[in-house]
Amino acid sequence: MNDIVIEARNLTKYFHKTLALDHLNLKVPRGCIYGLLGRNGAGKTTAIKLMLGLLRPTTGTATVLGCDCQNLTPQIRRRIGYVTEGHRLYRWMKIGELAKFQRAFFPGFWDDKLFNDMLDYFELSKKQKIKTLSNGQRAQVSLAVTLSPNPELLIMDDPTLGLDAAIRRQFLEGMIQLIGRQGRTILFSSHILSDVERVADRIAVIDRGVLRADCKLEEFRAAVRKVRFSFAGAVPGEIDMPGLLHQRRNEKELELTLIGTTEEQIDLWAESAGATYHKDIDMNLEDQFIEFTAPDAEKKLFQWEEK
Amino acid sequence: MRFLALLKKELREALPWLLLAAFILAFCSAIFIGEYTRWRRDFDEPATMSPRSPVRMDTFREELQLRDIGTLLLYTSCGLGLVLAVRQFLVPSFLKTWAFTIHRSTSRTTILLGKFTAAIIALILSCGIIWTLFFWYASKPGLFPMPLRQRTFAEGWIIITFGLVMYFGTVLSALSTARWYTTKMFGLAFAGCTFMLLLLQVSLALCLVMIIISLVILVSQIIHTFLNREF
Repeated sequence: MNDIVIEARNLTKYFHKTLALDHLNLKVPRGCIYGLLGRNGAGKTTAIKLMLGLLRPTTGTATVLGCDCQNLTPQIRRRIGYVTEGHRLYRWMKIGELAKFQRAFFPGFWDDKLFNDMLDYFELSKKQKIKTLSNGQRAQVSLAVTLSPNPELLIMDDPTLGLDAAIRRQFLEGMIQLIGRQGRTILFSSHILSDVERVADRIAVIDRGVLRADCKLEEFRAAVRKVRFSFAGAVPGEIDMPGLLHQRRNEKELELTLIGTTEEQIDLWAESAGATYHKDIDMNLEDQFIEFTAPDAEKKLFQWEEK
Repeated sequence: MRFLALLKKELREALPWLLLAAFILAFCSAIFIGEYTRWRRDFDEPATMSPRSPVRMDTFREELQLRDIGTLLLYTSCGLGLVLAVRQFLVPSFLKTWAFTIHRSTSRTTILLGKFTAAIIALILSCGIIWTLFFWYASKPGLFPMPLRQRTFAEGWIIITFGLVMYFGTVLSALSTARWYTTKMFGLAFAGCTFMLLLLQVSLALCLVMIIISLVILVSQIIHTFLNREF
């Protein structure tokens, strides 16, 4: 059995003259919960739609469950659950009708008990019409109809977008239930970092169409750090430090955001630059992500006033 | 099973428009029959004829009046074809449900076939059945001054089939990703040209051949577009 469920090779997509995705290379291992991170318009949806054969790549290829993404057969699609961005479902249908419609495409695979359990868990009734549901409830229905055929691979495009904190948590817990089932793989895109932190074990960061990180979540957490240096005299003008992302400074202090820089390198630089003292500043995943994907303009030097 | 699920969904979405078309056609047909009955009385009893009656003894021909129902049939079938195409192919773009529809464990051809079948059934159920019923009732002896001909019945069905040309023309335009003022208009323009050519024909067989050729061109173009389109 192939241990790579999704593999993208130089996947590139132009919309007319706009570059949406630039030579994306990534591999999603089996059984992994893979978070695709990026700001709005970074190329997450484009990447997902390319992988599902809903868009055609300008160049490059991708395979999903061993099948070329441009020729996904009905048999392969049956093994892939897809939660669309914004949970777009047929508005005129009742939940029960939607389930019946969905079930017809998964003969022998649809788990009615699981579907009913999920409806109970989310406190939804089969008689409710999709158009009368709130965004959160629609997301729950979307998750229920996607999970009930027991997909081997679940792809979700910003599933928690527009949901409040409580519904998001409930949604993610529903997702975690699926994870408990052996061999399931999940790829989901998000820009809500706390969600990613809660469930993902591997992440990819896409920034303006370019893949900028592809690693285990803890590796990313360990790699991006912010260090504050204090100086007795003037702060050095030129900073020559490996892995430097950003710098902020005032007269006496310098704050550097670094990636992949070792403790040894930091100590060495601090000594050579004449820093009297330095310490790590706590960063959560959101801080790390924002620093990591900050546009070029923000990477320029700027002063900040000490409170 | 998958095809049936798709067909059922498409028919359910087409139902309001199907019923509306059937109602308009049935309502207007009833009015026509009422008018014919009145005119028939005028024809049989000229002495009681109202001065405002449209019946002129020298020129009264059933074809003249049947042209009215023919025009109505044309508007209804074309209108229904257009509305169904918009409902099936443009509305999902606005509601962004294409991704959900396309990611089915079935081929795109089956999805397309479901939509086409639903449109054909909708046209038959609304325009076709009402026209057949109208013709059957109007053919009863004593209602019209002259017996209705089979050719008139066939003409009605050709008009209904033209509704399909309108449907496929609109589908092709809706599927095109070009701008409306460029090649996106091709499908609708093609349907319009077919209509103009049909008006010039006198032979029913030729009309039918033209419609079939138009349908073949449009359907092959739609299949190619749909199978290669991005959603």
